[in-house]
Amino acid sequence: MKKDEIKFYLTWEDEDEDEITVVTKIQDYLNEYGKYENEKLIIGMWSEAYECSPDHIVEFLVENAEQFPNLKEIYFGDMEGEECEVSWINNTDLAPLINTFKVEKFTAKGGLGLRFDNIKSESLKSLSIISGGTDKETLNDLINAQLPNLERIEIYLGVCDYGFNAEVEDIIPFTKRENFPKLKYLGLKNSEIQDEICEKVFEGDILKDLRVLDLSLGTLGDKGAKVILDNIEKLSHLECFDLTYNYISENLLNQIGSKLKEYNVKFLSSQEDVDIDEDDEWRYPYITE
Amino acid sequence: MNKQFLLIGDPKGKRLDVFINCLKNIDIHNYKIIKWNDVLEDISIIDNNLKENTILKVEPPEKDLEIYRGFLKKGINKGNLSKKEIEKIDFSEYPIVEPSQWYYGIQSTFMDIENLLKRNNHRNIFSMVDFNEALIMMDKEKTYELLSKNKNNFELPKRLKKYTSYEEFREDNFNKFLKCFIKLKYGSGSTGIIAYVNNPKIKEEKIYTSLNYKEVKGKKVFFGNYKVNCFKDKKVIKNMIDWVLENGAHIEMWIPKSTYNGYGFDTRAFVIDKKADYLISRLSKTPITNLHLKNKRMESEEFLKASELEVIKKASEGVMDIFNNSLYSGIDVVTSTGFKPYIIDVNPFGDLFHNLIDTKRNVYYKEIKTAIERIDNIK
Repeated sequence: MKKDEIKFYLTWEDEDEDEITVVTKIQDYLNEYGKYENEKLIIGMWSEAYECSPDHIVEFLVENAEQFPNLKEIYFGDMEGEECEVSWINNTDLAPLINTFKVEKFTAKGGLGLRFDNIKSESLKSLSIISGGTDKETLNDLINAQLPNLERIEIYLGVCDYGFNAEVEDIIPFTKRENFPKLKYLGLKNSEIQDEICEKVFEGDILKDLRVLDLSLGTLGDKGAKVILDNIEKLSHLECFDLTYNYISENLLNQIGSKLKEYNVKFLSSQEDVDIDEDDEWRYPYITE
Repeated sequence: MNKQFLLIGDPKGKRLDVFINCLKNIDIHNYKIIKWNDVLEDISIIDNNLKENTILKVEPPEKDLEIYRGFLKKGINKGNLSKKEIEKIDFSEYPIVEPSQWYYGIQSTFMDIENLLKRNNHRNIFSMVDFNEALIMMDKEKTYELLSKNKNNFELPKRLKKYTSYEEFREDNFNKFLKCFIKLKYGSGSTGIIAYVNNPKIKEEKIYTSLNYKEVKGKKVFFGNYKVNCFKDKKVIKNMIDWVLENGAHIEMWIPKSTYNGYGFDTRAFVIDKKADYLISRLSKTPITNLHLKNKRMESEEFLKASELEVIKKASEGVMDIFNNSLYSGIDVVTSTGFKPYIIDVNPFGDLFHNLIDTKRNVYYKEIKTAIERIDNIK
């Protein structure tokens, strides 16, 4: 293991060895180098991630926090679908990591069991949740969080088949500036109710001081596109509007594009990965399974 | 020494043309083509063309499904279909019919050719294909058994037991986290391969496959298409798995592949004369990475480290040490997340690389050169 190694995970072959875990790998690193001095830490595949919670990893990191003096960024659950589908990853309450380490950036992948119970952090500026289905409880955790300096929030909401159980009303708090006073980047994305979310975002008052609005990777269609066109002036101050992967018809997409060009707003709207069903019956967000 | 290339193949496909172009490009014009249909009609056509110093190359049937019909007829003694039933098959939609009987037909034909070659042993003939070994390679179960007895710088995925029906398979596995490949024993490429996934925790069972079926006059007709679909419908899953099991299956565990830019990949290694000569990787976001399913391709050297290339080369060469009599084959290697090489298929005809057609790097040139060296050395 190299000193600048930043990712700890189990290979397919490691999984056959009972005595090898992510914790033993981190422990081996600490035994070899004394401290973990890198600024970024990535936790990848843990033992039977499709069945087992990573509580022991969270506990170990919290108990040994002083061994990670320079940590600024954590990515927890960085797994490829080959290792474990995003919808299978058993996660846990990750608040202790955010509350213990003074990180500025935190990414969690895998929505099953994912919680952020009572998070409080002065340092956290960026929070991303990548999931095939984000639970209402997880969303409530974020709404109740004390993250006064949060500038960037990105939530892959996913589908009900894989754990998304919220209503569009549960998303409304993310569109209110009072809840996220310093937010510059709002990503409410990868949703099967992307049109409705789009509508709520424009009804809220969060847009005013945003730099980036990210409604990408979901099932956004013409209904949402019309809302955008009706409110397009509300986007005129943005640096970037991200609609990558959408189901909007060409004509409406071009209209949005032309308007944003006038405002000099970067517009991302690729439909390259969209699998449009012949009878347009099925629409899926980009990441589900 | 005047040498003749004798080519057996399917004129409706691409392979013969590509090979002949390679011969012409290096100024070899002494070649003869025999169509599979004619071989199936009367094997002595090969006998009549086996001259002194003949290099024999056999290409697999490609587009002409009448050849498939011909092999089914050749397999009649061991198969389920009668001559009358075979005559009636409508091949217009590319159905997959009785793969076991098709294989028996291939087996019988290959053995006939092998016997012909033995009888013509005095004529200085070199066959690029070893028919006995090709028959093992075309049977995934036999290949697995042979390789598992002689592991040589490679790994094999764990094998599951034999099942006779989906019910029995499900009974054993409904409460397990399971990811496996249910493969048609006698299929080629991605034909009849089902990637099966079961997660009892979230009550999810699904399959990924390019196999599909439809009901025709109350009978299910199965065929392959060019798209990998995901099915969650229990009835569809049952019908698909039952069909593969009924037609002879080989089931092995799914190995999580190493990834590049978020794409899982496996690698086709072309080994000739015991040396890995060309590696191309197939990248995909779906579990089945076979080339013709329109996935991305990259030459392995473009993105793998030298040490990683070496792992794949050593593994594929290890396989060809076991298939000692074959001049070449295409070996599919999955490298796991720990970059260990697992052999998932050995293809006796795995030498057509579409990206190399019309280039000097076409592996056919190497085949021609090596075959000529071999025939020159036959005492």
